[in-house]
Amino acid sequence: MIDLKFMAHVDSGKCTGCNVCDQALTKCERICPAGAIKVVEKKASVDSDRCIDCQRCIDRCDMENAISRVSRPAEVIRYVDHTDVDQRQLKMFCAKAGILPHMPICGCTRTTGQEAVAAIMKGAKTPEDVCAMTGLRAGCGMYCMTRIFQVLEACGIALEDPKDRRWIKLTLSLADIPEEKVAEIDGVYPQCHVGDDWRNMTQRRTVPAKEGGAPCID
Amino acid sequence: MYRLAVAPPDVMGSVYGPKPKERAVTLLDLVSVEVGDLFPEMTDRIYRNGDNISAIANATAEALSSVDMTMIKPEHTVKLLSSEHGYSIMGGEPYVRMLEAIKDNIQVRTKCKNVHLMVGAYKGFRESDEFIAHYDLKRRFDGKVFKYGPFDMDVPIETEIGTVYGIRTIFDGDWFVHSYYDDPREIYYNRQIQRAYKPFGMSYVRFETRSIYHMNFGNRSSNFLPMAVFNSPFIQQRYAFSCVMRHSPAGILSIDADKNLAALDKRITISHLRKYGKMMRLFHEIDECIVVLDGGRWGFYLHAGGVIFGVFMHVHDDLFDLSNPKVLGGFKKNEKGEIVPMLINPAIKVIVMNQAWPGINYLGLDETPIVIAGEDHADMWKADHCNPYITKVSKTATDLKKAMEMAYETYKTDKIIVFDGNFGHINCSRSMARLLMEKAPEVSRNVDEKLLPMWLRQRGLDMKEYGHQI
Repeated sequence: MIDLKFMAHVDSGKCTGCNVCDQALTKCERICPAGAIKVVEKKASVDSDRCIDCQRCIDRCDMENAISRVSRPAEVIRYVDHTDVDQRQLKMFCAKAGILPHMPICGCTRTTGQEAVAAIMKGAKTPEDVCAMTGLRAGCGMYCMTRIFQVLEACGIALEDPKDRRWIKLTLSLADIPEEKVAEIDGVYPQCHVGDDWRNMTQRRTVPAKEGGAPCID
Repeated sequence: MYRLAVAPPDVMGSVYGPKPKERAVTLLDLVSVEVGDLFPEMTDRIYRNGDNISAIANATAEALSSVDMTMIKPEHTVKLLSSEHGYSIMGGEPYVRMLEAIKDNIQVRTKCKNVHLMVGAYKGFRESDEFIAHYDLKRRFDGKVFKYGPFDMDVPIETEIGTVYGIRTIFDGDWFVHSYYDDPREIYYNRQIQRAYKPFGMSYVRFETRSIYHMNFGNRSSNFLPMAVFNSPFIQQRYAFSCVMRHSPAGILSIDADKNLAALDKRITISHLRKYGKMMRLFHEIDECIVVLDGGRWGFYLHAGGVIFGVFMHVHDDLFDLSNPKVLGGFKKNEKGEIVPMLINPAIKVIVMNQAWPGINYLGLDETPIVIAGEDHADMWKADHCNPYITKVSKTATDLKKAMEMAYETYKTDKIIVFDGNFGHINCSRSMARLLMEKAPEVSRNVDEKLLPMWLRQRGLDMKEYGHQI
């Protein structure tokens, strides 16, 4: 959940629609984590319903501050209520993603796993949708990325890396390393405690949920 | 009799932080404790803020003299990879001097003129521009200066545990030089395991790779990832050598260069376990304090006695003890069943921010009282989505003096420690100076006799074999 007091605003007099990327997306359009910026006829515009005030576009704009941060007419809260979706399914998706429902998946916004899953159950189809609905990536914009991929995948959404490489689906985890490889690494680099962490991660107990009966991670 | 408070390194103005203002050392009644007074054996250094900076270039040239550069041909392109935090250590100029000396050495010895300085930044696209302008890098590097960051175009890197993504522009030359610094930063996460490899999981890779490095491994096992990236054929085919600005709490210890990064890392590890181990365990002895953050860039990374505030936030645990699987930066349930961040150092009673950037997550400060000096400074924090919870526990003061009064009203202690970017000294109040001086001898003994042998053993290092390096 995030409170939004500000949003990005494009000064169309300054915006040149600078088409510098070989994939034909402008810098601001490519960098926006929420898919809030579109460039039409060489002018960028911001969708206030999607903007999460991350300020990446403002920072990225080379055109003498063509994009700036302005106050919203009224404060907006971006939050997806997880209580009105099928709880059994929600817990199942969280378990499949390997996350605890109530645990934040982002240190900045504290968005929980269940909120991100609920966003997908309510229609989010892409990382941009998840960010626009929950406010994820409004802070550092980096470390939660793999969790976003994990919850989308767990909810059955197949992701194909965009041609402009605005993101690359990467979910590689310690748990993906085969046991034999873990033993090999442990032998050479015992100080990394790869085996201990691997066992902790892969052998985490899965228990039935108290309500709904779907499995969840203990 | 205490030493006078020491002027900290200058603050570089930036669009990402508050306007530089008068420092705590000039506004508050402070003294300083010299690292060598605390630990008499810890006085070795080639530089600390205010010393003759030509020592850096000389030490770099000396360190590089034994490094093979014959693989670099005149027609080649060499990418000199620099990382963000180097530009903030003691004002950044020492790091720039090292980078400049590496460039000069390569050019003289190999006749290769295409040495490109790659200026890395955390996430802001204007951070590198600010460095380039502030340090006059275009002139000093013959115009061959390029910026890079985590959102740049990618290049896949096949490692022994899977594919990850690096930053394309820093690896598209014939060779690259790993030009780094070693002061312990996210030691609660790095745990002094393969410290010298860290940028291969951070600076040099895309944000998705940084994400898995932080989120999909444990805080000990994660340190295998940068090593796997470094050891990949893709990296090894382009890797020339490493040159590292090495530190101790006393200052810049030396410039160390080697093709063999594992050997260099071992030297760093041994030195850090003893030297930083002592300073961190001494900080652990502080029972209560008001912390003042006062410097350029993120307060989280500001030094006092060579130790960053982010480490001080977690010194209540022995972060070098690898038997502790602690996952810092994580969350836990409190007594009320609420999910809250892991506890930070309970000795920190109040934090006063005289000047500190927002923009990175200071996880764990939800319940620590904070006083922010200056309305404009506080406004930056109020609008920061990296730390929405800090504004809920913070108050605003008109200036530092008022902020200190408010801090004292919140928790009545006269023990003050200032994180202002200093190595070699700790600016603090008299009572804090007294405490540090009283506790240091026992801490030193405990580290030498008990903790250091354990820390070394946990990393496969033996005192008998490596003791001479300490």
